[in-house]
Amino acid sequence: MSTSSAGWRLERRLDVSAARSVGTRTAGVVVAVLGALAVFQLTGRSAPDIAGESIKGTFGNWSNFQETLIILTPILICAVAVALGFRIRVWNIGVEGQFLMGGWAATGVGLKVGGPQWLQLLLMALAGMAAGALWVLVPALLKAYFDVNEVITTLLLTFVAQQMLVWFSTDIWKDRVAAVTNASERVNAKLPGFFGSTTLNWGFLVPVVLVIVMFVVFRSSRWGYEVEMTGGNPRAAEFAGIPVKRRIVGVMMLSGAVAGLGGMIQLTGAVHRLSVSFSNQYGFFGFIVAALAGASALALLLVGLFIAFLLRSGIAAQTRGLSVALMFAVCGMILLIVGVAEIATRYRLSRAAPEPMAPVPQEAKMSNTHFASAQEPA
Amino acid sequence: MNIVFSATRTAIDSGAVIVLAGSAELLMERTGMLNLGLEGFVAIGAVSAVIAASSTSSVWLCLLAAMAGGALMGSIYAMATVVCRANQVLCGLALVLFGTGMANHLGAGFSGKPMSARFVAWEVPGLSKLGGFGKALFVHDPLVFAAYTVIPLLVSFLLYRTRHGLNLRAVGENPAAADAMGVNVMGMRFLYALIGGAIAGAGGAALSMSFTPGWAPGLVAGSGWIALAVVIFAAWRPGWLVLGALLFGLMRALSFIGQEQGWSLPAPVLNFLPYVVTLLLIAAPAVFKRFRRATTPPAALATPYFREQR
Amino acid sequence: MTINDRPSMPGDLGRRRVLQLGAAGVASLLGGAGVLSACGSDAKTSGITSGGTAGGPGTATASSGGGSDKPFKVGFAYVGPISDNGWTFTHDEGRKAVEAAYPNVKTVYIESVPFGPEATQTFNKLAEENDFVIVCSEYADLLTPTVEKFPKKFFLEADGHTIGKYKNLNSYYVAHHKVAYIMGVAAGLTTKTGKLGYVGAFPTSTVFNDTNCFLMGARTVRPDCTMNVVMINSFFDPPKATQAASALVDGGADVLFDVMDDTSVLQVAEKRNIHSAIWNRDNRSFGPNAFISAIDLNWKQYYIDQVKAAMDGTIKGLDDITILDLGNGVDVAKWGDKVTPEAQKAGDAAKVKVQGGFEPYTGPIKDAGGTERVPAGKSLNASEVFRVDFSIEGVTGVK
Repeated sequence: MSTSSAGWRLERRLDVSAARSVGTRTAGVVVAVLGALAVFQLTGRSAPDIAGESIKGTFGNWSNFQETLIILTPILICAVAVALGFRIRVWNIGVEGQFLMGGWAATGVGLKVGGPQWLQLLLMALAGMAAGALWVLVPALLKAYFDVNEVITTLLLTFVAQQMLVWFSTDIWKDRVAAVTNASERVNAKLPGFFGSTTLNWGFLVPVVLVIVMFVVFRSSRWGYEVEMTGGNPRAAEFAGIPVKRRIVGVMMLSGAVAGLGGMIQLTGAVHRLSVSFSNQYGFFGFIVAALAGASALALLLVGLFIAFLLRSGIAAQTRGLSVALMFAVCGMILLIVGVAEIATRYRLSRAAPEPMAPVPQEAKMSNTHFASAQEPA
Repeated sequence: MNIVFSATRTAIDSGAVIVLAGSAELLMERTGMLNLGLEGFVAIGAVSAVIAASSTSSVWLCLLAAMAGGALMGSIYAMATVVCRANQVLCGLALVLFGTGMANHLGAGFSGKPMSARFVAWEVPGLSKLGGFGKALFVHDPLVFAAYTVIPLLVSFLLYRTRHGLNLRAVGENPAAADAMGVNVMGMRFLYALIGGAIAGAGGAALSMSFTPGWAPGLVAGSGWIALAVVIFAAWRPGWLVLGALLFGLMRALSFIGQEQGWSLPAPVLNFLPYVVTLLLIAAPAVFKRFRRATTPPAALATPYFREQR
Repeated sequence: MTINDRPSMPGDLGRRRVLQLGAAGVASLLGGAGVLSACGSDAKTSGITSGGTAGGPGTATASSGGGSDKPFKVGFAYVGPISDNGWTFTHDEGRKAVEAAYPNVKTVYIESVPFGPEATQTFNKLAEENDFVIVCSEYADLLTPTVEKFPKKFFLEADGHTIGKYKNLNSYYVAHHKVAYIMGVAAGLTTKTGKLGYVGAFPTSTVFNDTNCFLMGARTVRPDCTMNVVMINSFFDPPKATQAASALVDGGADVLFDVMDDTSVLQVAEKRNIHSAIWNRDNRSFGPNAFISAIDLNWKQYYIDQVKAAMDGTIKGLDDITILDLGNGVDVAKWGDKVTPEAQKAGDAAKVKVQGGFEPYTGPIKDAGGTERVPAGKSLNASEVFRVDFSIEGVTGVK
């Protein structure tokens, strides 16, 4: 049916080698970062100085790297939550909301339930996961049984979660003694420090473990196989006797539970109070990480590290005379360019001669599916 | 009673940016583009108007600058998602960062200076004299009137009464079929990214030239995100968009009036109710089949179009 | 994000938050609160150390002042952008004054520090690279880990409630309640309806002191005044502040007061032909007819003194908060052009009275629930005022 006249066009690659995948993405990152540095240099700053300071501030020494890991932790957990959804072709853009509700539930337990610290932490983790899972339940049911677009429903619930946090942190659980402006009372249960570190706690291993577990589950379990099959072709999966609807609900709730656990880790590991700014958009950064990383476990870690690097650089760059606003703008531009580069992994530009339809079917029905990366092997 | 009228008036003024940004989003989504970057579009529009005001006192030129700024954002979005087919959600989020960051960067020098070009309230002859009611509905500035009347009517007419609108909707529902009918899918999307961007930019002007004149960091404060929710509430229909913007605006106005009047209802609850209502409005028709089709999003939303993959 | 919202995504916290990382937009979506709400912005080319010296980042400039040839470095952390033309702007004026006063002092600043682990990291970075760190807003337990980690560095925290706990951390704030009282007197003679309105961010002692004392002042000239408060959960959200102010005006208030970092409340007052007092500085150009006066902040001398003490090594941890008094860091701005001569006179007289030692919180004072908070014959001292956590009878909407 292709009647296209001459011109350039994108053509889908039938085989995406791992090397190409890594190569294009890396090239995208390099081009974007070099572009940003060029702009800095042209506007009268020292690009090498900024770059050096950023790298030093992120990876320079153990102390700085610990701080990088602290930023990375919530983002990576959210990214895992999103990536889980991708396996079944669900876009859980509401991880932010589930993350917030996880923190909310954990705070509630932390403030109201006593007991030994380990028990408190355990209960908080369970509460956080339950809250995250329940927060995505309605969108999951709507998606599975009524085909309602989950991008929209989960996003809506994120707004609700934000208002819930405003309500509880500035009113119901507000700290009236320490008068911390708009935060809840302090939650005392704390994750233990990483080998005695006062900066880093064991929480940073949670996303790493999650990534590994996810990798193993999708490699070797029947459930993982069913989920991926459902993601790849729901009709075929149904035909094969897989309970597609239940799998969708299950994966989405799992995704919510992971995000909710992230909220609990953030609370007990980093901030210790529920506040209006409990999340600095970690859910959205997590989404960006997952979207850029595709389905590869290693890529998830690396892209997460890259985003954490950008955020850490923001701090360093400010002491070098760059405004925080400009850093956001640059960060946005870099992500945009990397997003464009990502597409180059799977398509190539060709001179269009009329050609037959490429034989790769795209699920026309699933509107929000264009995540070819989800089809790639992990 | 008076308070109802005043609340309505405030809700209308505060909702202008929502209707404009929402109309922009609606057009874009109708062509299959989910633009999560709306917040950044509005910010760039708002700051463009303020920057223009430093060299002209013409409100119309400033408005034009805001629209140009928004259209520029639209072209970036289209380059990435339509031409390069990059992931729409990802690019949208990136543009939120880029737009708000850039706007704050550019606006820094203008913050704390009164806005010289601002729209002034205009009274509809006759109608504005109808007591509190007249004042609430018929005393607003031209941009607000345009946002609630001209733009939705135009969009509605375009979508439902023109051949072009039919093609536009086809691109959002089934780009392959539209392509087969001879519609230029990419061209259509690019065009509406530009037009949508310009309208969203005008939404920014509704903030910086009308509702909260001048530039201030944080001026946009989530207006773009609310507009996104309102589009969903409106089920992608221009008429409902106006209602949705008013509902969201009224609920927020109520949360302040409630505090002012000493109601015991917590403000955050009033603030999240509209989102819950929106969710219900989406869920109900899907669950009760009788209403089905009433609120489904464009089928090709957020899907890049690859002719080769039809 | 709102993503501002910050819905604004998103969230804001803290004394004046503004931005947030991320996306702001996203934030906003963050929206409301967070929402990416507002991202901070800042001056076009904010220099790292602006000030007079042009030394490259990290390079030392020879000093002429303190006798040492290494510059003394001071790091500032701001909660908002300098371009807010409000709270953060006034602190940056203080920073510039420090640089002007001591040629061998170099300053660095970081704007829009978000409330989260990033804040602690920002403070660590500042402490690592500087000799003295001034945090221009309350960050509470986001700051204390840094204070513990760098016991040899000294820290100041504005509006901080961690008091007397560390040898290297002091807290400071201003006696803004006295200015509120004085402006309240003028407001009492300005209002026709007797209804005063206040747009607040979060229910903190700042809000209690603003509203209580503004009303006390107004009642000295007009006993039937009342004060109504609306909270918007942000120090920086012009659309919300505009709506909140409109709601107050619609409810009958004809004199407004607010704690926002922007001027939207004053602009609403101007538009609705009423009057408004504001925080931070004299921003009357946004509402020349509506402007009553402002809580005029001036941190210059305090910062100059503290930096000197830090350089000399004489700075030490105090057991109590330092409250900059009327005339010494906080003052009443010049009266607005449309404030009647009678109101100006009464306001000036109140100022003389306060300067003479009068404390607005002088008993008997009951809270809104009828409980006596200050017994007859007693007055609160500065640090007790800093901890006020009640509304007096007549103030509604905040608890």
